[in-house]
Amino acid sequence: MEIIIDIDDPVPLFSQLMEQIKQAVLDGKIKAGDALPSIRQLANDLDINSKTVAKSYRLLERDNVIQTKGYRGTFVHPDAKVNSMIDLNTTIFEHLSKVIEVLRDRGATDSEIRIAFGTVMNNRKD
Amino acid sequence: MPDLLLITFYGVFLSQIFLLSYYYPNKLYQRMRYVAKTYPPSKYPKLYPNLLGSDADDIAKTRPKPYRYINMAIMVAGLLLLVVAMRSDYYPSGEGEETFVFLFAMLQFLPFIYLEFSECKQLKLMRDVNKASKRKAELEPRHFFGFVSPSLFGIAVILFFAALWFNFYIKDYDLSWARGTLTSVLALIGIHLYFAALFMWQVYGKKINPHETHKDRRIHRGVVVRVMVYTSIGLSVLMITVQSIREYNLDYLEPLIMSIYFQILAVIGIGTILHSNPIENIDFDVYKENV
Repeated sequence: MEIIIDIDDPVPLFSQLMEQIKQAVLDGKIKAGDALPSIRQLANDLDINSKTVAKSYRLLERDNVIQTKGYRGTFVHPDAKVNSMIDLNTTIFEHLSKVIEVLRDRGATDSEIRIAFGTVMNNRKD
Repeated sequence: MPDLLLITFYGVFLSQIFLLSYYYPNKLYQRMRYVAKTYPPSKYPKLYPNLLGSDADDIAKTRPKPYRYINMAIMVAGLLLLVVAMRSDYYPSGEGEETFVFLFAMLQFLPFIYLEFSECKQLKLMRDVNKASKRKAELEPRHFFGFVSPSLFGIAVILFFAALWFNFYIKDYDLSWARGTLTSVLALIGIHLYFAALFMWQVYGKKINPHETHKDRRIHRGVVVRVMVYTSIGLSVLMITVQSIREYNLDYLEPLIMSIYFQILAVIGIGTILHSNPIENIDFDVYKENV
């Protein structure tokens, strides 16, 4: 199974990596329980920063597509196939679009919405 | 018996000259010529990042020639040494000639080391010139035992510790510098630390060749790791053998053992590379212009 990333692509590298791993799961190229390369190995092979790979792995782990088992390494999650179908970005986009629509209907300007969004995000405790 | 030792030594030394300065250099030279002829710079420009222009194909074909001439010069020097030794009634005594055999072997290995450095330089240039925005990687983890069998590695580990223990045992656990125990032990440990670093670099390090296919890279890595394990076994066996012959006053065998050792080193090093990675199996299409 081969991963190909394009450093000139406007899509962030970590997103390209996440999408390809999810696609590999959906295509059945990697199955539940399969071992994945270490962050360092993948970063070195792709000649990208290891923090980028770490970010992809962290987000995939959050989405239950992969799981880290300590020193044994990183593996494909048992529910990876189902979880790979869920696109959190689309959900976020849909929800935010609805909220922005409501706020605009009530007369809020775009800058007010941006400032409020930034303030709410910055003041989050968790 | 003494005559047998003399004949054996001359035979083994002649074999060293042949193997290290003719047989393997010739094999490598033929390999380089084959690559230059079959995959010329005009069709495979990515393979020759420093060769441009209309005469690049001819330069690529003639480039390996100095390597051949150097090896031939070393071979002639070796044969001359052998003749001088024969005419001066030399007889193996182990009173320092093993150092001479060692130095001559080092001289024979120099062209190989030069080739390695040239390859590293070439690969660095390939990486610098490579402007491809797409980068590829395999989504499979690499492990040490993916390249070498656990049993072979186990033998190497056992022999490493056996050589360390034997070194202490035969010197009555005398750790003084004067008896050379610590020097030998530190040399053995140092070489193995170097192997460990080389392994980490080969298996987990950055890509050395930016164009190589995953399959070829896997084969190349496997060859390097196996050669390291074989060399480790050879080193441990050599240390045990040398310590034994010194301890049992068989010093006159030392030049012979040294020569055999370097030949084995050449067979497991260069021989494994040539045998395990035939040029015909390497995918050169990746070096074409539009790939």
